[in-house]
Amino acid sequence: MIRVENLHKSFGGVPAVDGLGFTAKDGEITGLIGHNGAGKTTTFRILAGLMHPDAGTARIDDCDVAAGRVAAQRRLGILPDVRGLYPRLTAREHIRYYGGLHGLEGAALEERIGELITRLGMEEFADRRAKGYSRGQELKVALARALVHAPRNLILDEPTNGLDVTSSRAVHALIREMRDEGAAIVISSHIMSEVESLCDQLVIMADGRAALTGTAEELRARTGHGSLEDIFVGIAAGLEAAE
Amino acid sequence: MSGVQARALQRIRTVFVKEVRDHWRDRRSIVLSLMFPLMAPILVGLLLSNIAGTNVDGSSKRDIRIAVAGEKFAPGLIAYLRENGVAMHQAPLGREAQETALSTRAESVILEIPPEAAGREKFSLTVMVDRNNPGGVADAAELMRHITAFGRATSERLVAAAGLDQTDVTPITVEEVTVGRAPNTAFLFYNLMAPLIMFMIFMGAVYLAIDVTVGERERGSLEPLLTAPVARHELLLGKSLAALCFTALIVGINLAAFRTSLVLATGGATGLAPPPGIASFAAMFLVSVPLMALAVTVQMSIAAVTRSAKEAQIYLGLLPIVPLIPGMAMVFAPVPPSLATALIPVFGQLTLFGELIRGEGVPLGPALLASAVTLLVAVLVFTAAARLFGRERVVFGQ
Repeated sequence: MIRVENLHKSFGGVPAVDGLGFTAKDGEITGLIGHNGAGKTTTFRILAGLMHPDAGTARIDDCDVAAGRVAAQRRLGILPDVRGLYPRLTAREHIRYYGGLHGLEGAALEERIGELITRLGMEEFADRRAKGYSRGQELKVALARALVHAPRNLILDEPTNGLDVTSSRAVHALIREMRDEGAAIVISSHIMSEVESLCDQLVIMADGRAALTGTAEELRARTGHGSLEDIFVGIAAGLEAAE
Repeated sequence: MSGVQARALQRIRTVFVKEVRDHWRDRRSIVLSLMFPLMAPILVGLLLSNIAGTNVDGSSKRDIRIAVAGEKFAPGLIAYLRENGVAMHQAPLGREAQETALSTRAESVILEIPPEAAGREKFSLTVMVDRNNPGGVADAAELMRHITAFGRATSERLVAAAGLDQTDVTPITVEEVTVGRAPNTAFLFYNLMAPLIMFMIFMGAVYLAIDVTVGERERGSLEPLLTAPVARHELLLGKSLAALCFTALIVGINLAAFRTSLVLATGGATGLAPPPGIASFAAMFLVSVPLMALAVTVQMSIAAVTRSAKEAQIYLGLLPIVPLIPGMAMVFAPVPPSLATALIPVFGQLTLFGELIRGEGVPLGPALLASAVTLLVAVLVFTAAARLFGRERVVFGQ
């Protein structure tokens, strides 16, 4: 479970996250969406242990990320928006590197690497160096890297960004599969149809806060809008009007 | 070893292996960085081989060839010079032609005997040489040695003929007793090694230090890396050990290249002290190890806090100049090692290098103290760097 409570983070006096709270339950996909600058990336960075919150708590299962970063990171897998691969390492070596950092080694690690390569369809390029990978191949490596330690909690930032339809469908299937295995998953995406089809719960962020929370159905009922895109645009327009 | 320590070591090893493998595959950088330590040894070797055929300090006899004007006016001197291995031929006529011959290196030394010397035992001579010609200067020094010896013999004969004792004209005689090796021009070149090795220690793995810190950030791989459950100091230690390995490799190549180059440059040359032996070079490598650790931690600290790889290159490009300055000063004014010099990292090692280059043994006390102090400073710098490495402004380059 991923839980954020009254989270605050400012940069130079400008609040990026301002009292955010939400819970991503086990066995559910939670969509964290918002316009650019809404505070999603900062929230992810706090959850990943890369930033300290000014106030509030971010928990992975029972671990407070600020107080026990390493323990929280062991329970979390992250797919960042910037994939950050090493051009001179192969896909297999990337997964092995992160497996080693998570304390895996030997036959167990090699077995897990083989499993991920098969599951993500990476056989063709698994032993080729990352320089020259397509965006889809880069994403698969980054995803395998995030999953190597079989985390029970996942944060996926733009998980299908730049992928073709077939690859996107494969990733969607994988995310649902992991949800069905009991993982707590938070995804961020600008593709509203993807969010609507994948997410069990939505948190729409605006100005560093959770402006709306609920299932897609609940949000439609509450706002009177027919589509998630209209809800999203409505919130953005409301913000502009308020400014 | 506890389970916690074993797991920490496993993570450090994982980072180390990845960095070594990753950088070993960067063939262009590897080839360039392995060629870099060959440059200075080749240059010093070429300079040394240029004077290897000369005898600048005149510490031993060798044959020379000179041009002579007025040979017939001092047959005694000419015969003495011939007996002592000086080959002679006719010099160009006229001062202008002689100067041209010297400046164009057609002649290295010209001895001019004036007509007034004819039939006399007391006379003046002129030795002409182009100061910009090191070979000519060396030949002139050798010629002067012979002329002085001939003059001394003449003086002794004249003194004896006058019924005097030699001590009447030379009341004080001095016998010089030197300890240690005789001073030799070659040591000036050997001493150059100390600052150049120091430069290599602080330059060796600069590109790697940049790539594994600020380079990771620019590539976008630092952010995912820091989401792994690894303590910052473990991560930095794995990276630093990889950089240390490359530094050791480069310094090792540098030392081996110096030894080879100096042996080749001085091979067969008379009057030049032989270069330090393999044991001295091995000792120099051992003395360098704590300094390599310090260099790597300083490089990592600077590279971690800079905002871009470009900025890091500027700072780290200047870093090797810091130890180079005292090193160059000590080429001309060597300082012996002591417990006081050992307290200053870099300086302490420079004094130890000096001893090893001169073929002396390294004093154990200063050597151990210098290593301990340098390692302590390296640990302190590393601790500071590990703290910096986890800060938000470092992670995100703000």
